[in-house]
Amino acid sequence: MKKLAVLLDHRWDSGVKTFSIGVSLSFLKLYELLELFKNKLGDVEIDFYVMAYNHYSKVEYFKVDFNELYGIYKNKDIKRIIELANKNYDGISERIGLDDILNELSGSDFKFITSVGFGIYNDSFEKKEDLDKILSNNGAYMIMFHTNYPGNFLYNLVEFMNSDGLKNTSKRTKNKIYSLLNRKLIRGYIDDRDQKELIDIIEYLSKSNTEEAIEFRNKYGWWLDEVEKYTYTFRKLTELKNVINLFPTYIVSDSNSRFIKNVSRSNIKKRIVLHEPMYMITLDKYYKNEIEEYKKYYLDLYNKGNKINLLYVGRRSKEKGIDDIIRLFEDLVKEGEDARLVILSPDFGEDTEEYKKLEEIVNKYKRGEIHIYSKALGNSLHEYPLYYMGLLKALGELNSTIYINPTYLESFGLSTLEAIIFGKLLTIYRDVDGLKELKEEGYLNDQTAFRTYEDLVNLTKKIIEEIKNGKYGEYVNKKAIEILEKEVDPEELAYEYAKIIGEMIYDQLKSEYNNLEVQSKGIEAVA
Amino acid sequence: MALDDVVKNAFAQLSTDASLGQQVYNAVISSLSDTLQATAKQIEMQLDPKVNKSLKYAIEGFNINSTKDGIDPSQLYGEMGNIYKQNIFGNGTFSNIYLLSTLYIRGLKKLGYPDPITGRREIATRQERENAQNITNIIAELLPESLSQYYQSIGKNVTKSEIMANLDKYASILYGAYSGVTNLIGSYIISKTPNISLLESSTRLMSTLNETFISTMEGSIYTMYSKLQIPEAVALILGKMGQIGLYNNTFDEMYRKIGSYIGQGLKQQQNQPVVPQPVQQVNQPNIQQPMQQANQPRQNQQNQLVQFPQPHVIRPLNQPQQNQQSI
Repeated sequence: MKKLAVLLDHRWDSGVKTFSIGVSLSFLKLYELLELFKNKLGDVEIDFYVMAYNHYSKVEYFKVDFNELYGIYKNKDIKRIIELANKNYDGISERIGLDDILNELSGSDFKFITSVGFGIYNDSFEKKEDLDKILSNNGAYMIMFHTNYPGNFLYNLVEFMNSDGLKNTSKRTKNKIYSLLNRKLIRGYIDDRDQKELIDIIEYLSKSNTEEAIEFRNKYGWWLDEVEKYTYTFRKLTELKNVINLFPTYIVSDSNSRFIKNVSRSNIKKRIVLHEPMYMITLDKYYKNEIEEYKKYYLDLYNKGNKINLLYVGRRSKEKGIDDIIRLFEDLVKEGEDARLVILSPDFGEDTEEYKKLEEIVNKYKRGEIHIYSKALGNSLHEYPLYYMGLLKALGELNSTIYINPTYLESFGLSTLEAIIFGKLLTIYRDVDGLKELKEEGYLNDQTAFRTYEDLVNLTKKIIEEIKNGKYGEYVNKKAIEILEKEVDPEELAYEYAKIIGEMIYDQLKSEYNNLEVQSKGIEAVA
Repeated sequence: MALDDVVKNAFAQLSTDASLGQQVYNAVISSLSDTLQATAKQIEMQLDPKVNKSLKYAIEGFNINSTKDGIDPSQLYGEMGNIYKQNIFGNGTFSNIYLLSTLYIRGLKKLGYPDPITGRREIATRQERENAQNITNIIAELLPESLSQYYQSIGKNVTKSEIMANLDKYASILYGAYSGVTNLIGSYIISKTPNISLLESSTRLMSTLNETFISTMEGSIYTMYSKLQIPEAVALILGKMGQIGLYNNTFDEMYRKIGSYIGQGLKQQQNQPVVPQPVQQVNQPNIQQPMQQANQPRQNQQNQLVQFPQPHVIRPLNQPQQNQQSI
């Protein structure tokens, strides 16, 4: 019997968890396919392991009762699956220890790890030997790179430079870092020369005895350790024989692969680019009528007056461009546009700096309106995703909503995809990383991309005028979006995963068979 | 008494505290009580050697090494517990200050500051750093208050702001004293026997107990803060809890629980039924509208409308603010 293990990283409510939930649906579908061909393929077992933080920020592992989960899937109770997944499968999983997870993974023929950062911020893998045990060349691996790491590291450095914590950093070092970011924003990616410069800066801050480097280590030693642990994991991956490195976009694949080569001087061998499965697609398939009800409700709510809506979905953080969206709203309102800014953000409480700033803007100009949906305010739409999908569909029907993604870092762009798939929304986005690729593939309109803040303001003003002239539809390519919808469908992606896994297991069996043949020939020769 | 009963009793006492106000109690304390009782249940699992392998090895090592040395493990455990309690909880008012200082410095360490005793730095997860930021904010409210009250009680006039200016220094010294209790226990063992294995297993056991206790206190503060995101209010409740002895009662309960495994083989206990593990439940955010609710047939369109999340609206002041209402 073949054993497939999937290690789901649920430590943070972030893109990695969303991806993991999508993957769970893909593997449930995969199991359904395997069951259909059981007579030919033999028995296959799939196990889900979840890693999550406990109440004390310590990582714990859980083994999901796959049979029970599959029973729910067979009944097509997808909402229940998503609900369970969001709660880290509480109720249908049992807690297991570090030794158990190490044994279970090493005893599986195929291992899918949903986050290459599984060993980082993970107190269980403090010892490198434990990480080594998981990446031990035993069986076949598939590992997901959800993030563009060099881009992330660069943005972390920019944030550190912008913070008040570093008093001794020289202008030279700061300029080097800011120039790297500027060049990244101009090009939409970090080229090879800049990657090497980024690595040199990290190296310098890690090892130099200058005052600024010592201060940096005192303050951000934890971050340097994080980078080092990533580098260690990357190096291990270059040593593995039977591993597929999975990336959501070519840009992320290229960027990470070059980075790995630059830091470890060896290449990761096999790379596959595959769009990430989006669980909302499955919800949309099975709960159309219910979503329609929510759409009607939000349509009724927003279909009054003729305000232009600017929609922002994302965390309240600098790298997501929250400051740019607030500044844009102020600039529009200042110039007389009575716009409505709709924000969906998990942490947008009344006590936040951004909330207060928005309050100040509408009071200063006596114009504009803000709508916030946030977990911090107790009215999150994401807690029950069908509401969110209903809202997107409603805003799409209004033909007056612009979805704006001002992020500085985007490996894939899940929120953007949700906005264009469910809302068919006109999207203004920063021409960077994964979004740049979605543009190049024709899913995002190339006329609505921007790089600098000035571009964003000018573009938004132009688009508002176009919308007022009834040209909303000209900016949305509905046919391309329909194709995209299939590419991110978890159940469709199950076939892609099946192909990859099938080939990997075949390669593994072939290599084992060849080894046996060589050995038996050796024995014959000796005899 | 189980740990959740310790919490329950403490909150029952708080409910009668006039300075907190009945309304505050009704609104906040009762919800905190439930959450903390759930947390206490979760912590109890950490005190179960079947679940907590680190504790299991510490107890087994201690049992084996003390028995080999001809020392009654239960008696030695009792003596070690007394040293801990005398030094940490011996002075009622000051014991809270010890604990708060320790929590404060642990928080600072997670935020990247070096350990004031060893100079070593710690790597913390993002979540740990976020929690540490909250905990240090809360304790920065509470510790100066507790210290100034203490000094006033011994006739020393010092203002809260004077203490605040040197808070890190006060806290570092007290943290050092707290951390030193393990060494005191170690020196007691050495005074009884030259057996280094017993020394190591004894200090390991007490460090495990100490760590579990401190993490429990940290966890309770995180839990309270997640329910009630006002540092001053959490500080007030924590202060009251300290006054009514929740900290040392919690320690006593943990000490007793671990004590029940001392001096006996674990095999017998492993045959006991496994307690269901509610670990994840406590971690979950409050889901404002669970999935199942939406599966229920709606009575009518009007009812349906009021259930949907409404936008939180900010409008210019001259226009009506219509949060949670139709726009």
